[in-house]
Amino acid sequence: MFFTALKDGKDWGAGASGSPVVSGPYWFLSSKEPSQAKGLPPILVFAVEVAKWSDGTAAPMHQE
Amino acid sequence: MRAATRERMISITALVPVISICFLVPKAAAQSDKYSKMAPVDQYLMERNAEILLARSAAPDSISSAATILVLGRQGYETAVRGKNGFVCMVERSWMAAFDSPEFWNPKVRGAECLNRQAARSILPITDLRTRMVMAGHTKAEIVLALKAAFDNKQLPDLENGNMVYMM
Repeated sequence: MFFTALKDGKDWGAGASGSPVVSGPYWFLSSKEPSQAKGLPPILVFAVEVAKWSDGTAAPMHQE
Repeated sequence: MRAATRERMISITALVPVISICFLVPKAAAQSDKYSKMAPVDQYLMERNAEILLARSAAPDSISSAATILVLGRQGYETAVRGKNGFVCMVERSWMAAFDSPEFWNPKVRGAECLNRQAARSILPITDLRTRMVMAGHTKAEIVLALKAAFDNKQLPDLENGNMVYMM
């Protein structure tokens, strides 16, 4: 997982077909009330899916 | 660690709200008021050794074995093991989800993670403040206000480059 000041997950190909990268906002999921996040630094979280847990066992992968 | 598969499933379930990945939030959960308020504190706590083990499971042994380990106490996170390599492993709870996440108060959430040095400096202070306020009984609105004030007063650091967190 990576915490960034980016505004658009597309910059990292997040959510693109076949991409193991996903992204989401840190403070609020909804963009309906952006004023809620006013005063908080923008943080966009990226996660890169991996196929194994730390002990080597298979991890479930997200299916589109 | 293989015996901990069930714990891991809890962990991956927990990962969903913790990292606020929108597309993974189940629609049913998003429509639910099941976790509309904080549960009794005990439901968020874990047996100390189990929490240390789960925290370490977030990264390969080569990293987590020398990491600092934090565990949740009644006032916030406490250092259970002092590490040597700059990484900090811990088990996040539901209140590290986005503030409008339907899982924000879900007491079943356990999100094991290991933060690198940069994340420990810039993300962990946010986690620490949020957690101390939750454990002190503050509301979401109060926590948001406190976070804004803390950033405004430079009591919380700017986001560092190079920060990353293992959750595997």
